[in-house]
Amino acid sequence: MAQPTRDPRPIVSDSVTDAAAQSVLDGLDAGFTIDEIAPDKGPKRRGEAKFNQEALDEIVNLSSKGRPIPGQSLVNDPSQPYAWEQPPEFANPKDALDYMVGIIYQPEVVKTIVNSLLSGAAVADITMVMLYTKFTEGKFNPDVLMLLAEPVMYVIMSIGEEANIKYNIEDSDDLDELDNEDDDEENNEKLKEFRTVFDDIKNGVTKKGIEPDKIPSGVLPQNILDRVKEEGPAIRSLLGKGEE
Amino acid sequence: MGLFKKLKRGFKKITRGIKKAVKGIVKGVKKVVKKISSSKILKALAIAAAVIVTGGAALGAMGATTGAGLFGSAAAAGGTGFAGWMTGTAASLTSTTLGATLAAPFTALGSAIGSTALALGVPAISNAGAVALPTVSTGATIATTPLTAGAPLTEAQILARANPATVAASTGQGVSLSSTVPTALSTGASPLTQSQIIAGVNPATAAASTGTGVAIADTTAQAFASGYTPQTTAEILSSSTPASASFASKFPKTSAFLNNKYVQGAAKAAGTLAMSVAGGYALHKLQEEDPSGNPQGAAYEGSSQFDPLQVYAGYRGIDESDVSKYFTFGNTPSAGNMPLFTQQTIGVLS
Repeated sequence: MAQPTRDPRPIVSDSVTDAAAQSVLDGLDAGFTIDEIAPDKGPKRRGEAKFNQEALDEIVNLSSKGRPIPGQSLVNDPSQPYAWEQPPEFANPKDALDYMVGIIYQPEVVKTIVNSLLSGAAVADITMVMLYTKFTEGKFNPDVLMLLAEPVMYVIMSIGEEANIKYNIEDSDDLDELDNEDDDEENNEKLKEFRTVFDDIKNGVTKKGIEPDKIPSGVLPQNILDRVKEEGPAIRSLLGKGEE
Repeated sequence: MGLFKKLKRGFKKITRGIKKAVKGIVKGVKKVVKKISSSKILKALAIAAAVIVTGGAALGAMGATTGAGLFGSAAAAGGTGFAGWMTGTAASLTSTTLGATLAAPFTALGSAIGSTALALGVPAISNAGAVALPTVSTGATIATTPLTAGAPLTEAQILARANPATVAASTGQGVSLSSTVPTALSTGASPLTQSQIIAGVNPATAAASTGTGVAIADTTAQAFASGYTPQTTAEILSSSTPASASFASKFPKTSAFLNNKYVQGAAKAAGTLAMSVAGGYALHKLQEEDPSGNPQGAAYEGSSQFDPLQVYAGYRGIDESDVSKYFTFGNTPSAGNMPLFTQQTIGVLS
């Protein structure tokens, strides 16, 4: 385990992603390796959605139910408003975040989240459901909901990482897409290297003068070496031949 | 556009931001490490973000205190790991109240989730601490001899319905209940005779008088509910219905009340109402498919829900769409603070 060379730099950012990114880069700069920051726990289990006719039927049933009649809310009794129509319980996002984190880290909730991630549910969807439910319960308003979205997503992602699951962030297989992009990038780099070498050859880098005296003994058979000494520049390799 | 769709669109922005950040760090890290995958960066991001969001409390919640698990490895013993380094020197990360209140879910669920995951082929979460079972070592040794050596109840004691506990207390040795029930009890005397049954003889009385108990035959006639005179043999043979007292004779006052014409009128009205309710219910069931306007949550969007942050943004000269940028994260004392707008109030003279 590497010893950090210094203390962490103070970081303040308006987004968790940015703050976390800065922390990781700061950690790397302070002497940690990426394996120390994100230890490997072996191959991950892919969160995959399995077809479930029962669940599909339930969704179809729910969606086929009626919707509110336009203006229906206007006939509600004003003295009995819905929970979300009243002042929220948490006006400060920090308090609301503490409340949400306290709920998420309950053992039963963690168990449900892990099962959901394993079943292919996306982190964004789980977050949305949790926050939206709390909004309808009157815990916070939609603005605070949006402020909590990013940190809560990271908390759920951290649970997924702890459980060693290759989860989906938003859509199915989006992490695979990231990996595919990595592979594409790697392939592009290799192609670029190859093209550089090819261009060098093509542009005559290999035509640099060969000095037979500097060729170490044993590298070439003696008869070829003698021929090089005799004919010198007249000998042209196939690669150095160029287009004629 | 409804509220839900707006929220979904907001979520899309966030996830796009996360993916963008991952790619950004990959580029940054590649300057130091040549070969690195996005998954690895995402894991590092998730760990760092969880530590920042929870103010370091995620470490304890994930079992880092035991030095096990992902966070444990990242925390490492003595706080020399990355997460430990992040929290160890940043006082603001550990000053949150969450640290004291958070549960340790993976420590609690470690074995359960681990086994589920193992069944699915996932490596187990291994940070669950072993549960140490307490050893009972202070209780006095219980003497077993008096209990095993106690004399069985005698037949006379059984017949006299002596309480074994009382007998045991009086002898001071306890009583061992014999595993074989005395023969007299299991077989008893002859079953009740037909004449005894018809005469309504109590089997307990018969048993007490003989001193040997009575075996009750399971083929006895079943005509003996309390309150009725047993049927005679002739009646049984002729299958006549036993006479029963009429409701009127048993409850004369209630009967008189029910016969009152007003009460009868009210009962008739109640019956009509019940019928109409039942009819309405049936009709409702039949018409269930009609659009009924079921109320659904958050289909309504009131501008008042957006007021507090709009006021806050206006007060600070912040563009409303950028208000989320002012909820800050990081490892400094100022991070996370978002003082809400408080309106100046005018005191009222009393």
